[in-house]
Amino acid sequence: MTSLIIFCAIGAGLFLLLLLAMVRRPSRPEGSADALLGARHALRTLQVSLLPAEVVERFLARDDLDYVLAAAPLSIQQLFLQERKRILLAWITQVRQQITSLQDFHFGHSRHFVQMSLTTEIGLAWEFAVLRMECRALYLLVVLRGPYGAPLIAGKMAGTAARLCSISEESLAFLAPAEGRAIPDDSARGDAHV
Amino acid sequence: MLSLILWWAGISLEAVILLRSVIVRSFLRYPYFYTYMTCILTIDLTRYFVYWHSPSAYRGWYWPTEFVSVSIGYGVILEILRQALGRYQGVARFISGIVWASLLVVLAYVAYKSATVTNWSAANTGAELKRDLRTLQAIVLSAILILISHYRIELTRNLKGIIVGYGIFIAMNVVNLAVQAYAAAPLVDASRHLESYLFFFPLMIWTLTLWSYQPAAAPPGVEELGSDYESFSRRTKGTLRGFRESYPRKLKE
Repeated sequence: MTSLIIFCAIGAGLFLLLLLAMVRRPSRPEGSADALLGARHALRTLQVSLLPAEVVERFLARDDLDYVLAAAPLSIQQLFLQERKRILLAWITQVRQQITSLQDFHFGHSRHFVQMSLTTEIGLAWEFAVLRMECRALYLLVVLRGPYGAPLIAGKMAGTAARLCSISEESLAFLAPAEGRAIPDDSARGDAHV
Repeated sequence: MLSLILWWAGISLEAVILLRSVIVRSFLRYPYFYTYMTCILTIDLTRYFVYWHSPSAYRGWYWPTEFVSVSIGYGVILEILRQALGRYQGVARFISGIVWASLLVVLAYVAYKSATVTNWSAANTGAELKRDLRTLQAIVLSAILILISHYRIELTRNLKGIIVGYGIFIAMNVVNLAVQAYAAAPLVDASRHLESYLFFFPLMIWTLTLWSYQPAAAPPGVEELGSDYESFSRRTKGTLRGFRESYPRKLKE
C-alpha cells in the first residue's frame, strides 16, 4: 500500500508541476526597456513613496495615539486604530511586493549567466522564501496585536524603513540611469554648429 | 473492436503528426521528438503486422518493443531540455548532468534485465521494469519543470504541447502501473484495460499543438545590466541580508 501511495504521489506531483509550469506567467525579456523600467519603478517606489523614514514615523507616531486617546471619544479612538492598522498592513504588503519584485528581477536576470552557481541560486531562493514568510508572519502579528500592540514595533519599523531604503539604493544602484553629460554648446546664437 | 479502432486511430494520429512536421518543416526544429515519433510509429506498425499475421507471437514481440519505446522516450525529455533551457546555459547545466546520468542508468538497467530475464512475456517482470523506468522519467521531467517554473522560462505553443502531452502520459503511466502492481483485483483489471488508451491523450494534444510551427522569440540581450554573475548575485544577497537583519528582530518583540 505504501508503494502505491508513493507512486501515486510521484504521478500527482508531476501533474501539479505541469500545471504550475503552464499557468505561471513567463518572465519579461531581460534587458528590455520594460524590464528596466519595471525594476527602476520598484526602486523608485521604495525610495520615494514607501520607505522614507519620516513617512513611516508619521503614520506610526505615538503622540498621535496619545492625543486621540486623551481627547477623542471612543468611536473615534477605534476608527483611529483601525486606520493605523490598515496603513501598517498596507506598508508590509508593499514591502513584500518589493521583495517579490527583487526576486523576480534577480531570477529573471540570473538565468542568462552561463557561470551561475547552483548553491548560490538555491541559497538565494531559500532566503527569498524565508523573507517572504517573515513578512507574512509580521503581517499576522499586526493583524492579531494591532498597530500599537507591541510598543517597540513602531520605532523598529521606522528604523527598518530607513535602513531598507539605503540598502535598496546601494544594492540596486546598477539600475540607476547613467548621468547624462550635457553637450557643450559653444556656438553663437544663430550659428548652427555645436 | 473498440481497442482495434483506437489502435488504428493512434497510428493515424502518429502519421498525421509526422506528416504535418514535414509539411510545416518542423521536423528538423524538434529532431529528437520527431525521431521518437518515427520510432513509435514504426513500432506500432510492426506490432500491428505481428498481431494480424501471427497473434501467438504478439506477446513475445510486445515487451522488447515496449522497452525500446520507453527508452527512446528520453528523446522527448532531451528535446524539452534542449528547447526550453537551450538559451539558458547556466540553468541547463544544473539539470543536464541529471538527465544524462539517468539516461545511462536506464540503458544499463534495460541491458541488465535483458541479460538476466529470459522470459519477457512474464507480465510482472515487464510491468515492473516499465514502471521503474517511467518513474525515473517522471522524476527527471519534474526536475526540469521545477526549473522552468522557478526561472519563469517562456515556452512556445509547440513546446508546451510536447511537455504537457508527454508529462500527462508519464504521470498516468506511473499511477496506472503502480495500481496494476499493488491495488486490488477489480482495479487492476480496469487499469490494464485503460493502459491501451493512455497514449491516445498525448497524441491528440500533439496533433493540436504541433499542427503549425511557432518559432521562439529572439533571445534578449543582457549587456545593458552587466555580465558579471558574481557581482550581480552579491548585490542581491546584500539587499536580502539587509531585509533579514531588520525583520527577525521585529518579530521577536
